[in-house]
Amino acid sequence: MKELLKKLSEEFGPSGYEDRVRSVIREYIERDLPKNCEIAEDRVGNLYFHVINRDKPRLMINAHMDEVGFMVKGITEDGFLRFGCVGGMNPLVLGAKRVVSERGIKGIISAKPIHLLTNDEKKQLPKVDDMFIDIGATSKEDAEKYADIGDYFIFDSGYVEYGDGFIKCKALDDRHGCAIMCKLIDAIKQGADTEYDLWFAFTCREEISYSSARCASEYVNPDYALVIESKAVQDIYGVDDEKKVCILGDGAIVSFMDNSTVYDKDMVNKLISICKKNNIPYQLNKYISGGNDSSAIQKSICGVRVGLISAPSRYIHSRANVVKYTDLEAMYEIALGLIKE
Amino acid sequence: MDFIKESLKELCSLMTVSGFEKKSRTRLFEIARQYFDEVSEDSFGNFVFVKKSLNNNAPRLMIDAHFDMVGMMVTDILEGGFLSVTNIGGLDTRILPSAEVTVYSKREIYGLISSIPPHLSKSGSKSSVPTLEELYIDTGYSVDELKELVPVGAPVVINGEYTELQNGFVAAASLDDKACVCAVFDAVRRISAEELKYDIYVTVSAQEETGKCGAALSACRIRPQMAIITDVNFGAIEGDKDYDSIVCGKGASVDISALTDRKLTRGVMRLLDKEGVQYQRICEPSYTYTNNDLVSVTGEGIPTVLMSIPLRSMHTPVETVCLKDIRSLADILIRVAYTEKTDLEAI
Amino acid sequence: MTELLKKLVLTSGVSGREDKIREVIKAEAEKYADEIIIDPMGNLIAHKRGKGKKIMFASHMDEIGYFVTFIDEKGLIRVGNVGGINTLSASYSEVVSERGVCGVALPSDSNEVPKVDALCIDIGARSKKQAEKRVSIGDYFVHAPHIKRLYGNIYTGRPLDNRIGCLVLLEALKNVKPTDNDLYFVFTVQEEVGLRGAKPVAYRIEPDIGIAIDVTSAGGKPTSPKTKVKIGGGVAIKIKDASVICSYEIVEKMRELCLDSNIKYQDEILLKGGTDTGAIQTAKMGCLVGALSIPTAYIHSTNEMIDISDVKEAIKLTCAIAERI
Repeated sequence: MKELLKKLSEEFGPSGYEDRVRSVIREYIERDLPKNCEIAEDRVGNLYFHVINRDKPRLMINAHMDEVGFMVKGITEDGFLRFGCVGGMNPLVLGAKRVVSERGIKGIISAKPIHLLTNDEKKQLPKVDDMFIDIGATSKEDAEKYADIGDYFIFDSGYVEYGDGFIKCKALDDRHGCAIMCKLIDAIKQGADTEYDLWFAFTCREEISYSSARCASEYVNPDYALVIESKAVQDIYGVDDEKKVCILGDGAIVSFMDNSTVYDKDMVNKLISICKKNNIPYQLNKYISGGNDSSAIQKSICGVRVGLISAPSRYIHSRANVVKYTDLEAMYEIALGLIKE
Repeated sequence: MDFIKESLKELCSLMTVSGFEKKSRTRLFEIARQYFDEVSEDSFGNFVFVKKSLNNNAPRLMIDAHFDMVGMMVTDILEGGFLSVTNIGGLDTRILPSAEVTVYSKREIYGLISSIPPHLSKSGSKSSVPTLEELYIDTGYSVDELKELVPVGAPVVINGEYTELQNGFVAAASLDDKACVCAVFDAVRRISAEELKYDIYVTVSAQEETGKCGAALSACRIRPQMAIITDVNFGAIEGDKDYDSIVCGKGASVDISALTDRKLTRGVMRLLDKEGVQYQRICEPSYTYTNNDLVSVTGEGIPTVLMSIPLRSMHTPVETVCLKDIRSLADILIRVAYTEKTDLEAI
Repeated sequence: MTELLKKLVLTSGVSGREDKIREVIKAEAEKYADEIIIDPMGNLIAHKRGKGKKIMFASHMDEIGYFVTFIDEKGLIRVGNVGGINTLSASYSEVVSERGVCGVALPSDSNEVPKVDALCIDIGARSKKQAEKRVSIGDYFVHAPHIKRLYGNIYTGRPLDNRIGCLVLLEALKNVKPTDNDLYFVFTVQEEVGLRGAKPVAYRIEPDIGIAIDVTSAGGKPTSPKTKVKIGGGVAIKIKDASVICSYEIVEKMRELCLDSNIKYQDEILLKGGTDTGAIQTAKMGCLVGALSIPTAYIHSTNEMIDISDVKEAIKLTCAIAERI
């Protein structure tokens, strides 16, 4: 799975421009397509892998393809790019970071250097409005050769394995979910049985709250949904235990509640029982925070019973997301257990 | 231009405070019947007007402009003939003191928003912006008369009559978004059914200003293959950053956002480039804060394009647009309506 | 009526975990409905069939509370809030878990009015190990339920928001006269966390008219918000709240029904706070909506207060709407 995870995470795919990630996934899941399976795309760009089992209850497993990024709003006379964020980001993680555009143009996020700031300005949080992307252009005219209004940029940050089984890359949120789903599809192709009319949905635009996952839910009309996600945690030095949320390496997170969703009690209990039965490491969320596609799915159509498994992730929505590989393995095992139940 | 002037003036005279759009149904239907094959409404207050193409299997193109406007609502009838109010939609309370208003109940009642002259204001309070709770509508009636005339819940409009400025600029209340309604009507009026590649479903929708997005309810009913959302966007004034606003008089804009369809948006821009049509561009990276955001995720999802008319002094009784920009939006809509969806995506 | 009210108030059910209160309501609703449906989110729909207008009444059955997130070394329980907690009232008040474990909610850092994430629960355990015997992560706590009559028609208790609405709906279901209208009495989930339950039900039912029944802030008390609504002033007809502008046709119709049937009513504009009305209005293709409210003081505190005579008017109006709108 690591090789696939590297490929997916390094691919370009900010919200609204998931085309390249979708192609990579599509190419992967299309291989050796069994007779009882079909692949579909809807008109907002969601990609589906359907294991046809018509009379069975319908389960949708969902991960989102998009990542946070930037969009060019204007070009200054000097050839610098003004930009806005696509998805929520802390301006503190932006300064002096490398970025790359949809056309492969490299740039640096820059701002007024600290030497030139007044003492008052030094104390204030930097604002995105005061930053710009420097692509090395000499003038507006020159910059227009390399970038245009509406062009996307993303963090330029590759896949690194470090320490005791940790992985760092941009966009691990939620490409690791996509990778896990691809591996589940592999398991199906290799003969894993399922008791569901099973849909895998690779969705768009999760990072902006008008998520395409709700369109996927209308398209599939599921009875149950399992969302595979990243969960922002802060298990770092100096944070009180009750605010760490969860610990990397302690297993997959089974959530009972976050800021956007109270998860279905039966789904939560089922996921926990799968963990207990198969000795899969798991942890409950120890702080209420964050939100994801689950809320859009739960409230869609006539209501859907929704559950969530997520990878504890440090430094989410920055150039360096960090996850631990063993947690991803646990998530894969839980999802596989659910499919087979 | 005469059509735009005349119909814009008429549209702006209609009372359409969010939640009360249906009160202006009769006149709107009269206007729309001249240009459309079908007119209908729903219980929420959305109006849907249909213009069919000659092709039986044409895809459905939804074009949305919202009908509602910001305003106020009466919350209490007070001693001395005053009314207390709450806002409907985002109101700029700085411009309210001494404004003239109309209260819509059994009949239209003239009123003034109270203000305190500088001689009497407490020291220090001059600089602070009054909240709506501190302002009252002065009607000149006695409290007993007023109780007969006005029920709690009556809508209130801040008067802003249609005024022509220089160089084709006009000012009026509710140009947000009636300038777009006008542009859409102008486009449909001039469209020939022979060349039309879509069945056009125009939604003149309710409650955009309250964030309820009536357009999404219409989209759910129409299930269009594609939607164009039209709204106003900030017209540049002195001191604005050029990349956060568009310029009045330079044409309508195509908006670029993560929440609009990338292929269609690019397709529309390339079509306009190819045909040498002047237009502006503005980038709204995440949310567009228009009907686009919810319409794009309605049902199984709808590919959307967002277009704007530049407007100055938004959400005041003197909203200002340039008539040329209304014409420009209409021209752009016509060109898109004459181009097959597959061609747009391929361009 | 008071027996049923007692039962409704004393059964707990935090947002997303409404199983117990749903059972109580179901047992009562079954006696009068043609059909009972429980949807995937847990909304309870009691259907009385008819061929006329499709009317959906909605009253939420969930309440605010806490989920256990963490147990520290000393056995103190950290929680996340469910819905808008009044922390002034919550501090040093009694709480009880889904398993019946009692405890006291306290500010974890100072004696001032705490922020909501600074509340924790002391169940008397002396260590993490002791606490874990009685409480698990994911358990919920609610403020200790109670109800008593104070003076005349005035009752105080918790959670009256919105079990009092459930009472109105159950009584209306029981007392409504035969009518052509197709009636859906819905007890919704997850209202307190952002009107989440009502939309999927409205999507399923596709009503012509949606009517929410909930509590509204009453004025005239030292801590009251600015409003004309008074306890004892009759049922409140909602014109607007932060989530909705009610369809003016429905507002006018409700006023007419009150005048025709001698129902005591007052107009309501609530500046802060939303209701299921807003969610129902924009479900699927939308519908006409209205709402009636029971004036309540000290909402979301441990002692909410109502006048039972307002409740009687609310039941009459609900029946009138069901029969004649």
